[in-house]
Amino acid sequence: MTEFLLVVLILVLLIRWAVISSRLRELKNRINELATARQDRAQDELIVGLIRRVYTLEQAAQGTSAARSSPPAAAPVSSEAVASTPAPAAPLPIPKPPSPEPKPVVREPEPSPALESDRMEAPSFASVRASLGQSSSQAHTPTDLREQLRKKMGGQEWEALVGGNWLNKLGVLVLVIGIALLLSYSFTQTGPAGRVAIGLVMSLAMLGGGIALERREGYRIFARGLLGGGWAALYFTTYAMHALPAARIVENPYLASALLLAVAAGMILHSLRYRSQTVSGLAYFIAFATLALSDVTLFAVIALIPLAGALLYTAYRFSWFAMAFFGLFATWGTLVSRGDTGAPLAPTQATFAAYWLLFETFDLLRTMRRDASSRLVQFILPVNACAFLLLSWRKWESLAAAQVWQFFAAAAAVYLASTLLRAKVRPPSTFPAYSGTMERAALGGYEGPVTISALLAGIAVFLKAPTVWINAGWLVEGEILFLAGLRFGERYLRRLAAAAFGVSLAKLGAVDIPAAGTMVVANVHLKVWTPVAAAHAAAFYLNRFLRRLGQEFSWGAAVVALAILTAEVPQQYLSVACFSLAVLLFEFGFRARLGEFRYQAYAAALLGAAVGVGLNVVASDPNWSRQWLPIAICTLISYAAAIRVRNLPEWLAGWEADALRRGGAAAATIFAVSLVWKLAPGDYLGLAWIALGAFLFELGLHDMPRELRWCSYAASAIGAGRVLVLQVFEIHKYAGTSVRISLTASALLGYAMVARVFRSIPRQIPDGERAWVRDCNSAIATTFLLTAGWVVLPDPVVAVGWAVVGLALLELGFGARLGSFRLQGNLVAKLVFFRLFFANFTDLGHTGWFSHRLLTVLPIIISQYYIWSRYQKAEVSQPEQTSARLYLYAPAILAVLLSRFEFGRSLAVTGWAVILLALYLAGLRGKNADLRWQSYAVALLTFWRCWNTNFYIPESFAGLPGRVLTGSVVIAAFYAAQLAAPRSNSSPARNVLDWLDRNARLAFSSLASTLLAVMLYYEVSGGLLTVAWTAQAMAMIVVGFPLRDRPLRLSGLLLFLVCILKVFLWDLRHLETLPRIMSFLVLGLILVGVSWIYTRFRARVQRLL
Amino acid sequence: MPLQFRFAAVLALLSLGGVLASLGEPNPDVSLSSVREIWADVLRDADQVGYKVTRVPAVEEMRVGAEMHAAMSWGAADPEAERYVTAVGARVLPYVRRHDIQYTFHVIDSPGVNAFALPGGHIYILGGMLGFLQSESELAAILGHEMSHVDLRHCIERYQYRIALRKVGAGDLGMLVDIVHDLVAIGYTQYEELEADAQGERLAVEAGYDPEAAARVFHRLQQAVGEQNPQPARTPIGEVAQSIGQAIGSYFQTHPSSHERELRLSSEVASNRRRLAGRTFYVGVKNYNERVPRTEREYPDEKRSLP
Repeated sequence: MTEFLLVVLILVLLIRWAVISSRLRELKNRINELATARQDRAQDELIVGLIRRVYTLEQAAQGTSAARSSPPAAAPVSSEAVASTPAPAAPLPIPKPPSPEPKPVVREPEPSPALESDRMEAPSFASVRASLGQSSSQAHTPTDLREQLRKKMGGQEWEALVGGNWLNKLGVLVLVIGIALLLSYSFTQTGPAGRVAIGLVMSLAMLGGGIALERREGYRIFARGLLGGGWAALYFTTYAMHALPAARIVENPYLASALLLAVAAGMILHSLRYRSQTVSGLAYFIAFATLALSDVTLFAVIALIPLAGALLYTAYRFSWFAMAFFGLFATWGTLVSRGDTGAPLAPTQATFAAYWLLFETFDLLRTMRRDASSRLVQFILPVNACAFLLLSWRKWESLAAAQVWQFFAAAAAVYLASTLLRAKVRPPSTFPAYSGTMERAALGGYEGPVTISALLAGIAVFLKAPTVWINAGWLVEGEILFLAGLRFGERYLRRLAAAAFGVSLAKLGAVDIPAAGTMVVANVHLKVWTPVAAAHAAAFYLNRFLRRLGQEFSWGAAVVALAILTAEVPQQYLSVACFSLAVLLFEFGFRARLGEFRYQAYAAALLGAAVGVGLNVVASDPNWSRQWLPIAICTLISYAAAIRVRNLPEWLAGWEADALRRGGAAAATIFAVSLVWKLAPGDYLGLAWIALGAFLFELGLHDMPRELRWCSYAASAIGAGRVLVLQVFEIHKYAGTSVRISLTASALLGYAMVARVFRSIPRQIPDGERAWVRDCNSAIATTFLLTAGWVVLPDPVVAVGWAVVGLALLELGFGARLGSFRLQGNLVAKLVFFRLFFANFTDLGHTGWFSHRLLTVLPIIISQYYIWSRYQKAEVSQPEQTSARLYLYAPAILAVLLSRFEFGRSLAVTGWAVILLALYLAGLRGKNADLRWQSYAVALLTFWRCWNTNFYIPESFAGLPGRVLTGSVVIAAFYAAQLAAPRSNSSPARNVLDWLDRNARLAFSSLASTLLAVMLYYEVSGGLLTVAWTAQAMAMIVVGFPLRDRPLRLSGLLLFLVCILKVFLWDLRHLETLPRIMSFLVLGLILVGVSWIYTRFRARVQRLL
Repeated sequence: MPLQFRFAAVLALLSLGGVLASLGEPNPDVSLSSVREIWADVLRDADQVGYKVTRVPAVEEMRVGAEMHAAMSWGAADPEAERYVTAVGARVLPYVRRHDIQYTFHVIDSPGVNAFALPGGHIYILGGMLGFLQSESELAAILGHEMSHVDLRHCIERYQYRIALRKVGAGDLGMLVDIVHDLVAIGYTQYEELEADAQGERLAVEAGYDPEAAARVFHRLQQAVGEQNPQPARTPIGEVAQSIGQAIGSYFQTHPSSHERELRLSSEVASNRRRLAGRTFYVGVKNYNERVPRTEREYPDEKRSLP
């Protein structure tokens, strides 16, 4: 231990001397610089003088020759240079150098340096000085290195430095230590008195030597070392006289203390004589070192007091703050190094307090002096505090751990007193404006001690109070600080208060809240921390109202309140609680016009909304039967908030009111949707949401508030989406009654919405919005209705149901002149068209004699014709009118297909024949080309099918072969159409269809005659075929006359020609004799007969043609 | 007529049709079979032109049929069964349209439940089919079906183009043309089957056999083969998707499903129920079991009327 302390002391000593030496070096360097500057100035003056003399001599030498040839040259020194030189007592006139003469343009040899120099101007002073300086610096480079080294060595030769200074101090140190060791050794060799005597002798010898040598200049440093060591040795010897048993000759501690004080006083007085911080510092250091090396006793500790006091006084007296800091360090270092003396708590603490008081007093005095020359002194307060507190705490911990809080409390009180003193001696108003807290604390402001006091008080509370009472204590402390800060207008105090509050809240959040303790207050179970948290909130609100700009307190209070709610309110009702708090905050903020409270309300409401959605909606307990209750309350509160600001005061910002209304409406909608979700059965949920949307829409229409209108769209969309996804896309034929009811009711609700906005509602809903609300609702409702129809109705009847819906929509669209409704109706009608292909044409069901196909498709055909007719009288756009022609083609197609599937592949032609005839007649009567063109198409189809298929069918009906019967019907239809067709005119046709239309008579006639001839071909075999064809031809001609039907007649003639060809080309070779003859005969007769007719009744025929 | 009345009339008509359709016996079939049938019509009508041009006389058809019969090697025939089948076929034969065809009935000793026809009136029935059938009326329906294929020229039409090409000396193209033609004809072969079903049923009914026998055969066939009835789609979209899927999937099938055939045959009977009412039809279970044709022995208790 002793060796270790020696090493430490040596190191400290070295450091300290190094610092002192450095300062000495700086002083010497400054002196050297001043001396060098003086020499440079003298040298400059000498150089200038020399230059002038040389120049004068040169001028004098040139004067003799120049007097014959040129005027005198100008002086080579500029006026600035002259001005910059030290002014001579009598400045010489400076002539200007001669101007260079113009050179002849003759190549001359390169001028030699000598010649060139002849032409050079006279150098200026500056250039000469610079060149001198340059040459000087070049010449003195080694000197500069030495200078630099010398500077590093403090301006001394290193050997002199080490030998004359360092060794001295080290020697003194060693000597003092030797004394101490000697005294220790003497424990066994001499008695106490002898030991003390030895110490005194040596001390006094050193002092005397020092005093003697100090008068000589060359030994002054050495002498001062002896003086310091002598005083130190004397102090230690005095100390030993009572403190060390082996040297105790003074039993009375007071006497011992008085002696120590006397030695200290002498030391101080002596050091004052020299006014040397080094001497005094050395003395004090050695004194401290000796005490550090001595035994650990209470007296040794007490003995430090006068020593430290003396040091501080000296330091204060001469402003040797560095020494004061050294004393602080040495004192507390000594105490630390000595460890626990084993003394009782009270005297030890008193001793520590005395030391603390010494340095604190010094710091206070320093503060009063307002001397900020040393930076080290700024650390006196914190180092003193740290050392005092740590040592004291260690002592308390070892002897009275349970009462250690008392120490901290007392220390807090002491520092509070220091605070008050500092505030008195150095009021905050004496600091510069805008000075920082650290700056003021360094200059001795109250900030440092008050911080320590607050910290200590907090620690005391922490050590004394249990659990949450700690927070209460901190709260009180913070509140006191806050109030003080408020009272004195000190921001730093308020910050300290905020820190106290913050620490308290942090503990609350990190420790107390996670701990799951409860307490009972008035039969109510509360979390342990709830009351203190509530107190925090209350204090915060109090602070908020005490300080006008303390908005952070209200925010803090709100956060604490929310935390309390979160902990105390059952999870299910947390959202309600948050909303309730939001209501309170908002009402207060609204009435008091305090925006922060309103914003807090918004934050709380947002939290409530989030919690509500999260805990009551998404993650609610499914086993809790009243899940709906908190959601309902949240709905009401949200709605109340939206309603609350319906009539806004002028001072409330527009955006805030808008946001509140929108937010309230949105939250109310969200919770209402959630409420419905909780309450409504799954199958009816979508319907319920749609109903909710309708209700909200109605509220929005009545400005309760109007934002609900938009929210209602969201609710309706959610409902419609659910119905769409689960009851439209996922619907199945065997869906239960609930699904059917839901679908139907949803559709009806949608139509009800349509009805609600069918007419314009000025000042309640813009027409544009009204239109799309109407259209969207009708579209969705129609979708639902169609789906419901699909579910409820038998497969073949679905199309009929849909057709009714489409028809109604179209009729509504026509009546109300709503294109969107007509569009929907058209879409439904097209849907119906395609639906028939899926479920109706191949349906095999029957009702009585009638197939379901007929019962369903036929009305739809008629309905489509009705739609077409409806369009004819409607005032719609031209494109829509044009597209309405589809309703003329679609039923025709349906009719053809109905016939095909109703009669089968073979008999379909009979129906088609009727259809083509009907179409053609209708086309003629209605002057509708579309119908006529359809009839032509059906005619071609009928002709094709009849020839290809029907003439080979095996069926027979009523004894007649099916092929004959169906063929006859088709042929008859063709002829009927021919007869109905107008005669062609000679005007040119626009296109093929027009040509066909103009020559329909010929077309139908040709088709009929061809089919008849083909049918005869299949039905009449052998030689009778010619006869049959001949009869047909004749009949055509005969009938053609009265009908004045030229195509018919021409067809007959053509058929005659075929018969003639057949007779000669086929019958002649293939038929048997009799039929062959018969063919010829009949054909011939008929031909003759026909020709006769043409001849005999030429005039009449001419009229009939 | 005023607009309102017209509108009301159309609505009333639609409602009436819907109500009446709802009241009747439902026989729903939601599929795209109508479209398939229409497409088959188009293909058949287009194909008919070629068939008319290349039509083969009955004599040549029978010659072709004989060649094909001779070219195939059949299993040993059961004379007794063949005799019985021929007797039943002869009972149906008068009602065919093409009397210039000489029908020949063959029984093939094969376990397959099948029957088929070749051009020229060669009707084949496999032993497995004979074992599957339960009455003479069912046999008559099956024979009627195969005879209808011949009567309706379905059989010879398959070979008409090749015969025609051979006639003009381009026989090598026959295979290629057959392939192309098969691709076209496959679109309507199912409807030829349905057509033959209906015609076969008519022939059997005209011959006095039970009209419902054919439907029963296909009903049992459906169960024996394990053919799954297409389940009705549950959703509207599923309905459309299933219909399209079925339409595509069944396009390349040569025969319709037994379920559809049964439905069509039953529907045929139902639609002609009024016409057939009061008539007595023969079932012939005993005859079939004893392999004694109805022409030889009629059991009174085998006669029945349609309900």
